[in-house]
Amino acid sequence: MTKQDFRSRDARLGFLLVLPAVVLVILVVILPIISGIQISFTSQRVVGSEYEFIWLKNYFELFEDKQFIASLGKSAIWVLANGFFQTLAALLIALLINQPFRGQNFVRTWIILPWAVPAAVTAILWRWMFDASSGILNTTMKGMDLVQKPVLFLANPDIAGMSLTFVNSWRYIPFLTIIFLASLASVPEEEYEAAKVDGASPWLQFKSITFPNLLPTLTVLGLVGTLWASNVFDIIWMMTRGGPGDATTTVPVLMYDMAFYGYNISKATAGAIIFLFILIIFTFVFIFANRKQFVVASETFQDLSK
Amino acid sequence: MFKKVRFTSYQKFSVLTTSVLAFGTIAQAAPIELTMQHMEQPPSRVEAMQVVVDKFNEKYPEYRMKQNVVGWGEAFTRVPAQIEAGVSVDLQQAIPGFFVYVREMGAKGVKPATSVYEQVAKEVKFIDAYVDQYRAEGEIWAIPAFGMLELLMYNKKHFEEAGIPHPPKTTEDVLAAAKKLTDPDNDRYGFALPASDTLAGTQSIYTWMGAFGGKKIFDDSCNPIVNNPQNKRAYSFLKELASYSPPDIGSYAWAEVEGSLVSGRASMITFKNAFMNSWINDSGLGPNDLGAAPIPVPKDGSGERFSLAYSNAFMVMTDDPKKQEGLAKFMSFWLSPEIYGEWLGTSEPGLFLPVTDDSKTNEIMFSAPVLSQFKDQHQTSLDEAPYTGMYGFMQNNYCPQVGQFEGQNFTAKAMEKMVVEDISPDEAVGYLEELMLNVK
Repeated sequence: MTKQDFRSRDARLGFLLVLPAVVLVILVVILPIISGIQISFTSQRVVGSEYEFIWLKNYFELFEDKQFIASLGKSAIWVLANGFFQTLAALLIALLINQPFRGQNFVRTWIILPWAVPAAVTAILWRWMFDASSGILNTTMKGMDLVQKPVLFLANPDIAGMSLTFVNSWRYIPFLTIIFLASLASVPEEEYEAAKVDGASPWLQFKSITFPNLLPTLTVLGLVGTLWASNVFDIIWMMTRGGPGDATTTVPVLMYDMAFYGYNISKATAGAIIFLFILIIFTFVFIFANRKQFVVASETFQDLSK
Repeated sequence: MFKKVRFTSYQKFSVLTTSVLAFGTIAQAAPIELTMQHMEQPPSRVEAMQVVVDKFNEKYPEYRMKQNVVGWGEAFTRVPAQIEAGVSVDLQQAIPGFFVYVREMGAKGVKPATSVYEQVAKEVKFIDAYVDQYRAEGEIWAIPAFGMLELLMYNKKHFEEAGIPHPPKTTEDVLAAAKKLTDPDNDRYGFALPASDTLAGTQSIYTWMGAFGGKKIFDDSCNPIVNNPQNKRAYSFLKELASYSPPDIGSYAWAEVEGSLVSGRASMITFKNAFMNSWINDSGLGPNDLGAAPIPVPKDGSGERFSLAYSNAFMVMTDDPKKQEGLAKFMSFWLSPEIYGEWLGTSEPGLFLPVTDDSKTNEIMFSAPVLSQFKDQHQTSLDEAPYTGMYGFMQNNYCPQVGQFEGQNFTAKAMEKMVVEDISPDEAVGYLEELMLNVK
């Protein structure tokens, strides 16, 4: 923006309208991050306690901490599993309910319901359903003779991660489905009609028309979804607290445990800063690698907003 | 427009005197504001506390006490933030681990409560075991308000049906009874041991460690000393006990442990005498079918009569002498037999135990609607109070690492690893000590 542009009335109004949001971001995002970086250089154990500056010691300790390194790996698996499962399921559901059928509007409206359920309620609800002795899943499976012994959904380290992925996906899939539905609505109908005239099969239509049109949306969701999934804490903490053992201890869970139950807020903050930088690097790489899709997505959103 | 009015000397004197008197009356009438903050969030507990607060405010109009409630889940983040922001309350509930946490904030946080304690102690006689958890550096840091302790709770009907004549007195009896009562094909188990990374697990496991003689977890220099023969025996016992427990104990917290006994799925648990209402409503059995016994000890006499006990106390967060005087009056009032008996009987019957010696015979408490049906079980809790302790708080001092020991559930983590990864008891105890050594 040149000086002359800024003098224009519209530009000044735009600046004034954006200003509160900028101030808010500085107050609730930028300043806490700066404060966090400062705390990570100290030996502070509890919020408000006395400390001294130890600079990078927390960071060096974390890089030698097997539990922290393992939690990075678990976070990566968690993100990939959630991303894959949620995207696939949401896409399938969106394609399904995009077909005309009786009650379509009702389904489209109420599918959002799990997204509206608070995380605490979701966690309690699924804990009950997963319960080995009286949970509805085990009771049903035993009743149908599908299993002899109860499945330990949350107590078996080999299964707990999958159970949590399922629950987390149950929450997020409706939202993703709505996004996909909106994106599907923007695909020009003429393209399908032309393909049908040419005798293209449904799979070919999906491959040649639907998927390319959904790609910008998928790319944006790939980024946003990764960041969301990386920072999921509530569901994991309330359902397994990172267990059994360390089976579901992702970075946010470990950092919370370290900060508030391990009395080491500075080291936990250092871990959070490392994680933040990993996510920032991922974001830049992802945007750079998919810059064309982001441009298309941006144009699509601009068209939609007109 | 206005006529100038001249006041006589008498009128001036009258106005002045009236003003001074009025101001004095207002100043005298303004009560001293006191705030207590606790984490007992269930509505029945808040209601019972409000009754105490209202009666106190009525009896002592010079003070205005009010209660503030936060959940235990948010206490670890909110209370330090309050202190840091300078908006701390006057009385703050604590359990030993939480006290250690807040104490980390230094002088701006919790203040020595010795003088307040001494004023209260003139009125009531405290049970030492509950005070000892807050003795450190020659001071008392919190005023005990109520206790909680673990017992062996069991289903008497199951015992009768299995032909077991009396509750287990030794750990060998526990294993024998658990084995006899376990029938996995019918989803029945002798015990429900929480082998999970939870506070329920921590408390249960440590109780058994104490029963085997391993209650002391630090030496006088605060070095961990848990890797010892007593704890190896305790973990060996616990591993066998886990085999007579439901297969999903790796995810058990309090609700699941309680639920397994109430539903009849398990016959024994280590628990607080805290589920009288659910026993009456959901077990299909009567009060006399619920058994409560002291924690069994090894037959060879190598252990000791012991139970983990929590002293729920109130830290003094203000150094204003006038407020401290009010806090002493409030605590004395709360712990006075009539008020305390009613509160113990209604707030959380059975779970909240008296911390004062004379309350053991408090008729008001025993005649409360629920407690009156479970007198024997409650009496067992009261009888065990002198044989209790809390990890890391038994040498009139405490080791700072105890905060992490409890907060991160080290004993339960070792137990969980033993069950989930099938490591040996010796390895589990080694792992426990390793966790403690890693605390900086």
